[in-house]
Amino acid sequence: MSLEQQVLIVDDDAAVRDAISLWLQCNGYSTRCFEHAEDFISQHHMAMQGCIIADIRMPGMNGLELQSHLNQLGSHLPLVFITGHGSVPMAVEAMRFGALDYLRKPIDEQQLLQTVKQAFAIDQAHALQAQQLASLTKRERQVAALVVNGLANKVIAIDLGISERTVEVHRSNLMQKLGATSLPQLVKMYL
Amino acid sequence: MTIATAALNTSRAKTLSQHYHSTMTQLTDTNADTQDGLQTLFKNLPGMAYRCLNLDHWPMSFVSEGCEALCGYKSQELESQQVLWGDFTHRHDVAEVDRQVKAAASLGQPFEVEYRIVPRTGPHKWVWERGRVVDWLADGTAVLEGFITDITSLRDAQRMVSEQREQLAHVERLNTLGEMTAAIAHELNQPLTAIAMYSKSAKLLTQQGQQEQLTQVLDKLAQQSLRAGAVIERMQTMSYQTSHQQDQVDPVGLLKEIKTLAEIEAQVRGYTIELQLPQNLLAITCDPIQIQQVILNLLRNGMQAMQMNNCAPGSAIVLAAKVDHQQLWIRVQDIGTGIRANMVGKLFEAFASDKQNGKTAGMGLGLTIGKAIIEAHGGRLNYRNLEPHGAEFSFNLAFAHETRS
Repeated sequence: MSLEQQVLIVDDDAAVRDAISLWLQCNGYSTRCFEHAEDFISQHHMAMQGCIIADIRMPGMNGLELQSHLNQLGSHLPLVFITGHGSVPMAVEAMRFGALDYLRKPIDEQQLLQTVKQAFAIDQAHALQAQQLASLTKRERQVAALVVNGLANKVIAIDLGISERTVEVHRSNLMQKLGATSLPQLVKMYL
Repeated sequence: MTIATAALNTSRAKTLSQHYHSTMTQLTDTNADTQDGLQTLFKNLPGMAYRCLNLDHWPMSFVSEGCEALCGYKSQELESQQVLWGDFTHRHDVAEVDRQVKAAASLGQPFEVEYRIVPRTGPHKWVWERGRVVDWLADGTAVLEGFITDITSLRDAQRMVSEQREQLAHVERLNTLGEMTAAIAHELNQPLTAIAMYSKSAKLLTQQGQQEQLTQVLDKLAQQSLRAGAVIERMQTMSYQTSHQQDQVDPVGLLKEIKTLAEIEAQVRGYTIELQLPQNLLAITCDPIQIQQVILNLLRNGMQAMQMNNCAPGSAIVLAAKVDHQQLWIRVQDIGTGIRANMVGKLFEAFASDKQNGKTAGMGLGLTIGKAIIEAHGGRLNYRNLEPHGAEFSFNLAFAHETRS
């Protein structure tokens, strides 16, 4: 893995930010703090790994806006929200848009550790998948795209102007590279 | 002979016969048809018509049939004066009824009174009475005629209305409290979150033997507890200081306005507010809205205590002002249950309330807020129990300009 996984903390409250960061560090996690969503966006890059823990209520860009912005950028970082009194409806909204979880203030420190652990696992699985997909050849990628579209080997062969036997070889190779043992698994990866 | 005419004949034989000729007598003296008609009328009256002397206990010379339904005694029992109306007039109300009747009689005006009676059986009833002087005896005793009817159900309905209004006020207070709680919860959760994380981290750091970092974390912990404390302090002051606006106010106008406001509630409870003002009061410096809130609250508490003490309708709660030591002292004095021994000392604690009836139970915030408001004005809110019963709350406010005597 090229980059270390980090817990990216976005909270406008300095003490909360610092305390969460300290607690996670004490538990062996690497952390990085951001004062507000804009700050995070300006330093965000696609190679970031780990997860984001963000306060849902922040002055300026709030948690939901940060989420929508990251979704547009195509970020896959698992997102965990911190909610306070009365922001549960916002958290539910966030979950609908793909947030991993939300933690209610005052945060239960064990729940925080568990959530981060889960988020890192998801992030890692995603990174692995991305790596696997990156290892496919151009031809394999073409075959994979047609396979998940539900086309039969015979049709793919005609489409790509290659023999059916060659399609079978490409298909077997790409399945192996992606660690998929069945068509549904492959489809799931592509979704 | 019908009961009514018999009754009238008896009454004629008694003290007042030659002295008056009321319309009622004239009617009953005429022909049989009219008498029958009058009988039917009396029978169907939703209450009792009477004629009596305005003497102690109101001896009756004529009572219509409705009296049995009203008080449980037959008309003959009243007319023969075996029982007297005053005997079952509620002992708390009898003096006030007497006062009002006498006052109206002396002016030659009709009177209207509401009071309680204790019937032969069952709980007390509320009655409404309207009457007037129809004649005077040679010795100056007034002869009264009038009508009395049961208004217990009306009173109950009124009480229900006032109870519901109190409940509503209670809900409003809860709403305000709910909003306040939300704000406090939000503000407190920040330092609490930090404290939780810091303390758990401190534990880990201790186990890992990282002394230097631990010291820092402990400092941060202390800071966050202070921050939480500051939040609470701010909330406490916020409730009365956000709109803290000091104006020069005419205390007479202020108190009169409060009296008008409180009279609405006083009327529902059947009490009056007695305003005692000295001459020539100078302007005071205060936030009139807040002072109004404090006094209204004190009046309301007092009236509730009077109701708990079953004070008679027409009883007065006193709102008074006086000048002492170059300060204006405002005093609210009731004749209610007084302050119970177990409440003394914790009267100003938030959420301590002596109003235990589920429906009207207080939040226990009124006096706490009141005390805070008065102290913010540089005054003091005092209280004491009165003999034989009742309580007095008083507080002081500064005059706008130093008074030199």
